[in-house]
Parts: sequence; structure tokens; C-alpha cells
Amino acid sequence: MTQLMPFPFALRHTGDHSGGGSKFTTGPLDKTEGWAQINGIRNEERELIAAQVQVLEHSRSMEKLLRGKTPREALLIMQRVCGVCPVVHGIAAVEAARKALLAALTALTASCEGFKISRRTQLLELIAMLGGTLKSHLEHIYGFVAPEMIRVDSILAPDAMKLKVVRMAMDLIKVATKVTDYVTGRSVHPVTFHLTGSTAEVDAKGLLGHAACIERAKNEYFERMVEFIATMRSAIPDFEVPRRFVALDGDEYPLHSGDHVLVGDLGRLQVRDFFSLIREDTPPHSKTYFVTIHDEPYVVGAAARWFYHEPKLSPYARSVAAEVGLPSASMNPFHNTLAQLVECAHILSILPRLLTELAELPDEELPMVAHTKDGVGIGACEAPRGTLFHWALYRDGKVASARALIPTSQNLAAMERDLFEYARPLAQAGATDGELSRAMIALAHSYDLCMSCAVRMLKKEDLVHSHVH
Amino acid sequence: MTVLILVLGNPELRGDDALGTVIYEKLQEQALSPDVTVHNGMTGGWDLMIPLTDGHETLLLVDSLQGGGPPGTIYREEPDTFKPTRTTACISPHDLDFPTIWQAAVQMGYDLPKKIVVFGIEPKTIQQGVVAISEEVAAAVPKVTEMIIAECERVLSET
Repeated sequence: MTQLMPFPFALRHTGDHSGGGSKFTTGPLDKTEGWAQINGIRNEERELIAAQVQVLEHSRSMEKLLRGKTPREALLIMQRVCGVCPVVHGIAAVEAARKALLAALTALTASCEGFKISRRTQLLELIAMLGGTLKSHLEHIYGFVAPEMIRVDSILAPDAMKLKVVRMAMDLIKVATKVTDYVTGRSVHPVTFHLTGSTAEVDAKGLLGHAACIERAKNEYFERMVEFIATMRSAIPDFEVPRRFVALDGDEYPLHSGDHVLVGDLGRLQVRDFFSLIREDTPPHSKTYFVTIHDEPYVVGAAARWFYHEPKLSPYARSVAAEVGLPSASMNPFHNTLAQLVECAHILSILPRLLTELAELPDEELPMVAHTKDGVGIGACEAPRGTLFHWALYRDGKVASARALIPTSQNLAAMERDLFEYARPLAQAGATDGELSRAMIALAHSYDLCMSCAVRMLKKEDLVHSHVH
Repeated sequence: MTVLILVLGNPELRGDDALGTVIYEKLQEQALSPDVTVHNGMTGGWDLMIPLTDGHETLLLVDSLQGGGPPGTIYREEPDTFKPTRTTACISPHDLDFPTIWQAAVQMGYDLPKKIVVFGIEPKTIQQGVVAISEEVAAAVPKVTEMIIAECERVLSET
């Protein structure tokens, strides 16, 4: 058997797996996008000694593609890492540029406080993100977790298709997508984000119409969608594991961008200081970065936002949390799904108010700015799956270097650890490979994986050389 | 009576699969009836459910279609429905093809378009990494665009 190379945190919990034993795999996981599978490794005594999240997708080299690009080009390119979350990538990229070129932007204004985007732009970007988060969470809860709750293979199984809540979720996804379409021009790769603001063309009639659709959806069928999850609550395993959560800080429940990060026992850090803490490694069994802090895993996403910001949620969202039995400061990875449902409730509560506020704001002309300056900026946003960071170094107004820190990459180390801690006692109790696979798939689902933008490392074995002699 | 023109295909990275986007852009230049909606579904997967279930009575589907003819061959078909290519294994919503989405919408109880017309062009290549459509497919685009516009006018005049 191949000797596995040392890996920082893996050795601490997986033990020696250089001898005999066996390996099983879940096969490709169903998830929002991308290819990944989970491997379990047993020793000769059938004990589980390792759990691996294996991602074999090739590098997309997005960060290299940004070099030499203007801020506008950079945000348009970076969105195209994927069509699942282009809005949040676009906003993270433009925020990085805004921070990097702050001096040039400030020169446009007479304010000594420096450049800030207008309230109109802030609302357009926030509403776009809320629509995207609502859609993403609903797809996860009712497309992946609900079928699991009724013990069928996937959303395509007839029993899943016929669930009324699946149809309701699809109807609400349509409403959410149309909101994002409206405030961005198109929700897939929008072109309305700019350095100085948004150029989306909206009017009061359209905005108030969407507000009414959201209200109607919340009142007519969201309640029943919540009831379904509440009645299926017993299908969610009780499993706790200590975790360090990471999320943006803010005066309101963070579902947009921010400048400070909450990092558990490490406190509240500026985004640039957080960036200096993290370490990205690629384990031998995967091509995706696993991110750790001081060699320890951490978790981003709805569960992290719930951990820190529960009191900032709307009263309706908190009532939904009580209805589905989501405890405060939960350490159960499976509860990420419940936290997502609570965020859906929160978004449905606040969206109509935000759309109405936007309807009362006048259109604005955006100032032009020359991109000729140097600077470094980090755009940090709360994407559906967790905190997304774009770091960019600009020289003469063009990208000299860039990095993206992706939510799923940040969760993979914790996910691997959790998979092992969850499945090991099941293996000790005599679970078969198939039973362990099913259990691990259920846990993996709760993380709402998306491999689409998770940064990958190009490895030497990926390279095909022509005969050179 | 409303018509949905749904074009499909990867717009940038798979050769002749981009013909949908090319036709979409040609249709944008036309003064189509307000009862006609043109949607570029690209590689939308599950997201195709959104325009598909908006209550249109007629669907004109546009895509590259491998029918066995030489590259650039134009096809016009009027299927009754679509056969799903996936049963229960679902890797990702992005990965689902149109026939599977169609059947999912049927099972979820949506009212779908009663009349379906498929316009296809035989591709020369849909290899990943090829960024332009072939000459043969490009030559067929104007004719197919005319056929789609004529189909819209005919359908709307029948109501």
C-alpha cells in the first residue's frame, strides 16, 4: 500500500495507515457543483483510521487570469469562476478593488471620511446577495437534505419530486432569482457592478412588485416549508464536535461585506490580520486547498453566522429557529442546514423593507475614476456557504497579484475531521462500509459543499508532456 | 398565448455548443412580439426550471443537436416530451440536462408548454477548449434564426 505523506492536522486524528487494511469510497457526492468523494480507510481490525475528502478537479487558474487586468475586468473575470455564485464573487472582487484604490476613489469626493459607495449601490448589492443566498440555501435544504430525510437517493427520486415542499422551494427559488435578476440586470454573471457603484436600472414599480412577491411567498407557503423540516427534525443526528467558527462581524446580521472577522478564541480581527493567520495546504489525496488556522480546522457558513449573530436576526427568523429546534451556539455540524433555513426566514423578513427603501431612492450617475494607482485590498463577503475573501494587489491600477479564499476550501479540514469523528464510533459498533458511506454522505451534505470555485492546485501528474527528444 | 424561446449551450468553451448564444444575440436584434420571451439558458441545469415553468404555452428550444447529418445540418422536430437521461443519481443541479429537467418539472406538477418545437444544428465540434463556432454551423445560423422568427409569427397568428 502506498505510504501516505505527512499532513499537518491529518496525523493527529487518523493514525498510521501505512499497513494493511481496506479502503472504501462513497463515489461522487451529489452537491451544488463539482466533483468530490469521501474515502474511508480501515485497518486490519476494521477500525476506521482515516476519512478523506478527495477532490480531483483540475486547477482553473483564475488568480493568474486576473494579472494585468483593470478592476472592471477583474470583477467580470472572477465572477466567471462559476455560474452558481457569480454575484458574491463579483462583489468580493469589486470590494477588493475599492479598498486597494481607496486613495484614488477618495480624491473623487469632498468628504474627509473617504470614498463610500452610495446607499443605492449598497442596497442593490445587498439585495442581489440576499436573493442569491435565499436561492442557494433553498436548493440545499430541499434539493439535498429533504430527500435524505425521507431516505431516498436524490431529488430526482419520484418520492422526492412529489414532495409538496420541493415544489414550494422551486417556486420560492424562482421569486428569489427574479429579484436578483432585477437588481443586477441578470443574475448569472451580472455586468452592473462597477468600482464606484452599480449601474442597474430599477424603478419603484418593479421593486415594489418584487417586494409583494416576497411577502406573498413568505405568507402563502414558506411556513409549510418550515413545518416540514420541523416534523422531520428527528432525522437529524445528534452529533457534536468542538469547532472554531469564523464569520464577518457587523452591526447587522452579516449577509453582505465587512471589514472585521470573528475568529472564536482569537477574537475580532481586521480582515488583513485574519489573512495572515491562515495556511493553505493541499493534502496528498486531494487537489483542493484545505485551510487551517495554526494547523487547526475552522468552520464558516450559516452555522458560524448563527453562532455569533443570533441576536441580530429578525424576530421571525428566531421564531423559525425555535420551531425547528436549532439551539444557540450549536456545535452539531448537521445543524448548518437548520441555520440556513433560519437565514431564509431572515431574508424573507428584511427583503421587502430593503426593496421598498430602494424604491424611494433616486437614480444616480456614477463618477468615473482613473485606474492608475497602487494599492492592496481585501474584499470580504458572506457568501451562502461562508466567508469569501478576494485579495488583490494593484500596481498602476492593474492587478499584479490576486488570491481568493473560498468558503468550501475553508471548511474542508473541519469536514474531514468531523467525518472521522462521526464515523469512527459507527465503525466500532460494526457498521458496514455501505452504512458508513451513507452516514458520511449525510454529514457531507450538511456542509453544503460546492467545489466549483474551491481553489485547486495544479500538480505535476496533471501535466502531459509531448515527446521532446 | 405566449412563446418561450429557450436557447441552450455553453457560450464560450465548447465550440459549436455556443450556437445557442449566437442565435440568442441575433434574436435580440429583432423586434419580437411582447408575447415572446427569449431566454439564454446556457448550461443552466436546474435553473432552466425557472423560465420553463413560467406558464408559456409554446416552447421553442434551440441547441446543438447530434442527428447524424453533416455539420451545419438544420433540424426541426416537434417532440411530445423528453426522455430523461438521469434516474436518481444526481451529481449536481448544474450537471442536469434539459430532458431530465423537463421530466422533473412534470413530476413536480408544473403546467408545461403544450407545444414543443426543437430547432437544432448538427455541430462539427463540441470539444472543450474550442472557443469559436465552426464555419458550417455559422452558415446555418441565419436560416435557423429566420425559421424561429417565422415559427413565432405562425404560432401567435393561430391564437
